[in-house]
Amino acid sequence: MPKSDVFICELCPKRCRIEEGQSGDCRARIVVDGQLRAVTYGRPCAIHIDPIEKKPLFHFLPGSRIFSIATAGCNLHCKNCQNWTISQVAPQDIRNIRLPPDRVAEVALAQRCKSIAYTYTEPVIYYEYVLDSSVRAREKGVRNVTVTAGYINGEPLKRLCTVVDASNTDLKAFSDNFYREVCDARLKPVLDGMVTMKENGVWLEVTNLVVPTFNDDLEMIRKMCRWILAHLGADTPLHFSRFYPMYKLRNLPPTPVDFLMKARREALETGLHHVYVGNVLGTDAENTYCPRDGTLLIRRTGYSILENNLKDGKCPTCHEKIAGVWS
Amino acid sequence: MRRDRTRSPLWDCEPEALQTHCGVVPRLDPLVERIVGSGGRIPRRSFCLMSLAAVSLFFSGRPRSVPPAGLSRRPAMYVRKE
Repeated sequence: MPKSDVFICELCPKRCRIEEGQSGDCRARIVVDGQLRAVTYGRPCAIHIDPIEKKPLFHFLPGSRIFSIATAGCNLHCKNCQNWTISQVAPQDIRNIRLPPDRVAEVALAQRCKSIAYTYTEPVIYYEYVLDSSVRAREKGVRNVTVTAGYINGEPLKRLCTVVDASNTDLKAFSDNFYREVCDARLKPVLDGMVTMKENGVWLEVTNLVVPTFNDDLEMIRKMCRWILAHLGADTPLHFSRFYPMYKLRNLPPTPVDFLMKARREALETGLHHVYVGNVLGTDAENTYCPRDGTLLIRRTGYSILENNLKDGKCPTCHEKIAGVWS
Repeated sequence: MRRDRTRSPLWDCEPEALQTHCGVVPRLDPLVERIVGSGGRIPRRSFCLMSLAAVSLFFSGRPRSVPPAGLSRRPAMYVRKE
C-alpha cells in the first residue's frame, strides 16, 4: 500500500504533523483525500448578536451591535475555558449550520450590526473562514473583530491584519509556565502576535482573566503592565476579568473583587491610561475617564452605556484626543 | 440617557451572562434560525458516507478518508508537506 503524505500545519506555533484521516490539535483541520482541509469553513456552531462591550471592546464603536460567530474547536486547551462545550469538541460532534462567507456580512447588515466578531472559540483555527468573511464584510462597509488568544504564526497573522479592524486578545498570564500548564501553549508567540497587530494598525484591547491561585500575583501583573506599556503603548486598554469556576477549574472560587481592584490600581500606577475590571457590576472600573484631567467620558454598567460624553473622540473638558475607534 | 439593553431578546444580559467576559456560549437555538434562516442543517453523522469511505478505501489501495459528514472540504492555508 503506498504511503500517504504527511502535512505540517503552519498556521499556529504548534505546527501539528497530520496524517491522512487525522486532525490537528485544534480538531478543525483534517487531512482528507490527500489534502489538509479547513473543515469548519462556512460552518459556524455558534451565532449571536452581542453588544460590543461584551467582547470586551470599550474603545471601538461603543454601544454598537456586533454579529458574533464561532466554529467548533480550539488550538488551546485552557483548564478554565468558559466555552469548552464548543471549543473542546470536534466539529463533527456538534451541530453546525451552513453560513458561507458572503452571507456573513449580509446577515450582519440585516441585523443592524456595524461589525462582525470572530469569537467564542478561537478564530485562528477557522482562519480561512475569517479571512474570506472579512474581505466580503469590508466590501460592504462592515468592520471585523477577532476575540482571540493570539496563538498564531507571524505570516498568517500579518495577512489577517490586512482585513481585521480590532482585536481583543487574551493575555492569559505573564508566565510561560501558566501557558504550558493551564493552556497547553507558550507565552512568547502571544506577545509577538500582539506587537504585530499593533504595528499593523489593528485596534487592540487586552484581557487578562485573573484565576485565583494560578495568576493572581501582583508582581506578575506589574511585569505584564510594564510590558504592555513598553510594547503596545499607554493607550492600549487593559481589561482585568473576573474568573468564575468553569470546566476543569470548578474547584476554585471566583476572583475576589478586591484583588481585581488592586490589579487595576497597579496597572494605572504603571502608566496605562485605560484599565477596566470586567464581570463585576456596579463599580467605577467599568467607566472610561480622560487620562489627562479625569473627566468621566463613558459611564457603563455591564454591557450597557449609561452616558457617553465624548465629543468627536475627544474629552469635552480638555479636548484631549482619546485613543480608540469611535465612529 | 440610559438604554436598557436587557430588554432586547437578542442580547445575553442576564446576570449569568455577565459571569464571563465573552458571556455564556450562545448555542444554536431557534434564535439562530431567526437570524440566519432555517435551511442548511447538517446531520451529525452519515452512515452512508462512512460506508462509502470504507468501500473506497478498500478498492483504492491507498489510505484515504472523507470529511466528516456535512463539513467543508475547503483546502487549508499555511500548510506544507513533510
